[in-house]
Amino acid sequence: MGMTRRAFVTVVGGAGLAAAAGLGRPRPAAGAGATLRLLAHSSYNEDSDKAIARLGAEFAAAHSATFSADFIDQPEVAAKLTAEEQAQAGHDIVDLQDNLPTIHKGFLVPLDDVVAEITRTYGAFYPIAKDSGYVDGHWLSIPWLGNCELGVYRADYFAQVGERPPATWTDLLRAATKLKKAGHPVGIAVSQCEDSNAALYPLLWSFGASVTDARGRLTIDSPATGAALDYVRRLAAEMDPTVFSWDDSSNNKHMLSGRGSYTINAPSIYLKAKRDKMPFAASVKHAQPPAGPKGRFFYADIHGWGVFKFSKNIDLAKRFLRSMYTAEGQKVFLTLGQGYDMPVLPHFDVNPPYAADPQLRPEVGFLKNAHLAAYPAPPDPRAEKAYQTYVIPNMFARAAQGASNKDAVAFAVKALKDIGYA
Amino acid sequence: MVSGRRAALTYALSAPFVVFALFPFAWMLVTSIKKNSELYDLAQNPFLVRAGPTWDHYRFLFQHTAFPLWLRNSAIVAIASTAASVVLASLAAHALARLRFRYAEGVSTFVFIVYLMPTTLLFLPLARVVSALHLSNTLWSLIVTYPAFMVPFITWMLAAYLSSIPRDLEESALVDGCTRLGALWRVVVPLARPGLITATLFAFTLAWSEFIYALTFISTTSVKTVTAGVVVDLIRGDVFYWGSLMGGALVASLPVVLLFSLFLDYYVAGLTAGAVKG
Repeated sequence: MGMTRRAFVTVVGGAGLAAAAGLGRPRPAAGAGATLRLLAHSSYNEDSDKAIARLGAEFAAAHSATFSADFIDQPEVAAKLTAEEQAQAGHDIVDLQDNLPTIHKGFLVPLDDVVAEITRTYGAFYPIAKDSGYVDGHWLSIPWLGNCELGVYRADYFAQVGERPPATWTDLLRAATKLKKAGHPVGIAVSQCEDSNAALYPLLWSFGASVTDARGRLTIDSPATGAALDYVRRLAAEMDPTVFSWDDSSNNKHMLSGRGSYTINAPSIYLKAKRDKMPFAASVKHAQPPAGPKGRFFYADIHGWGVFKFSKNIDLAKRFLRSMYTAEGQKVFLTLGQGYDMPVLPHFDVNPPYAADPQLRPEVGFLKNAHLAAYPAPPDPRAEKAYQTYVIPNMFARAAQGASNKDAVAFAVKALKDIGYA
Repeated sequence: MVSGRRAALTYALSAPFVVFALFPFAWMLVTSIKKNSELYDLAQNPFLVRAGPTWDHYRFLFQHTAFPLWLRNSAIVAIASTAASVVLASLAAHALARLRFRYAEGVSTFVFIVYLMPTTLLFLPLARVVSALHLSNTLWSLIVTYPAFMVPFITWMLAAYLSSIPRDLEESALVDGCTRLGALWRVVVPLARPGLITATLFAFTLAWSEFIYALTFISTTSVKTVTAGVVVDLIRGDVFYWGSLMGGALVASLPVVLLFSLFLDYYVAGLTAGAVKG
């Protein structure tokens, strides 16, 4: 028996709708407690994620709500945020790194009242934290943690070649030559990865150069930038030649292989060597990043919490965020964070739990003088775009691989103008 | 003797391609069975396992992550979206290849252009669709959206294949009393089996390996598919679980390898049939 077209469409369409209705996510029953959903980057240290999940579960239990936390790797966060903004649905609370609040500001709820309560009790946030969360006169993200970038070195290798941990970039270059000959090269990423940004921005600043001035006007084309390019060109010749293709895991591997002698990174290398009881763990030490002719500059990443305007649980989200900033909450977080995650409130940075480890002591107070990529300008979405598209590492990579200073700077100027700088 | 020389020449010429094709699998296998201490030792030959194999990375993958669930989710999504796409695309391809209607050529070109649209552009508007249908964070969000890029591709592929099947056979069936759909089902589909299998293989591979929708529409670990789960859960900050990542990638590639191996003959026939159309 034949089937009419109308009947076919009815049967297929009806079956599809029935299946969609049956297999879709079950909707919460009316009157059930709210579900607070949080999206965060996954920390190298799984316990950091567990700390957030624990704080959320405790809060939810006390408020007859449900807490759900999703952790994804940092590079995928941007796509996720954009999709949720388009859909006007998704997580209530989201993890915003560095200057991301400037990019997503149209979708974020001002959290001034929550920050006022926190700062009334514990004092002001570090300036770098404010640079991340405070946009156009409002707190759009409440800073939560900092990840610092330290000089990570093998004390035994430096001793073998008669060098002390480098206090300046000049010290590092001198040591790098000897360490390369000894088979333990220095390695700092000059490539498209976050670690490269984190090493090269403060290097640029320490030579007196910067992407912009304090008012956000382009200043990258300067003699100071040329001096920084000259330096990196010389340093690159003494480093592991693979640094131009490194990703964020490469400097960890460089050091954890036992071959590398120096890099710039968060404490994850030391913590991994210690956790896995690697034989050289005791020789992995931390120092402040090297100083240049214009001083020593510190770079850190800041992660904070934003609340989406489309959230149906804005008040609950605010109450949860407020509950995270207590002495007990910070203790849980900083203890489980093991020193990879640092407090953004100086109040909790006096004697954090990880300071008992001498190797992690250089972290204490690190954020006091640290800056984000927009420095010396205020928070700026263009700075975040330049950071995300690796303009500065690309400029250094070009110079170190044969381009003249003029060409490398011209490349950077064009890329920055394309982003919107003038 | 001549045939022996020809065989040797054939093997010699194809050897580089075989090495090229198998290299990723060999690399994934070697990396996944190396101990961490050897993985981090840059002085070691990366192609050899000198310190003895370990199954720790696979143990971690299967016991400490949701990898089995991710595989199951991928299978559900890939099978369901492939089935839906092949059915829809078969009807569309048949219409484009057989029916004479206004703007047929324009529609055909439009389908081809849609096929060229990058999925990375489509995920933003589709995010709204998924949200409007209340499908966020469910496997249905993928089953419903994957056909958006699969149907144009399969339609374009099948339309070319169906054009190679003589129209007379179908018209005979219509003269004998078949409906249009009946002729399609009883005459065209059996003849187009190699083309359909090829299209199915391609569609399944597309769905199985899709990443950006799986990443953006799904958040909960237990609902992730294998492509998103392996990357999102095995890269933590600047620490990559290389052994488990490679192990996960290797295991995840096996279903596709198996399918292509089983249906290789149909696949070749499907690809070449359109090529000799006179």
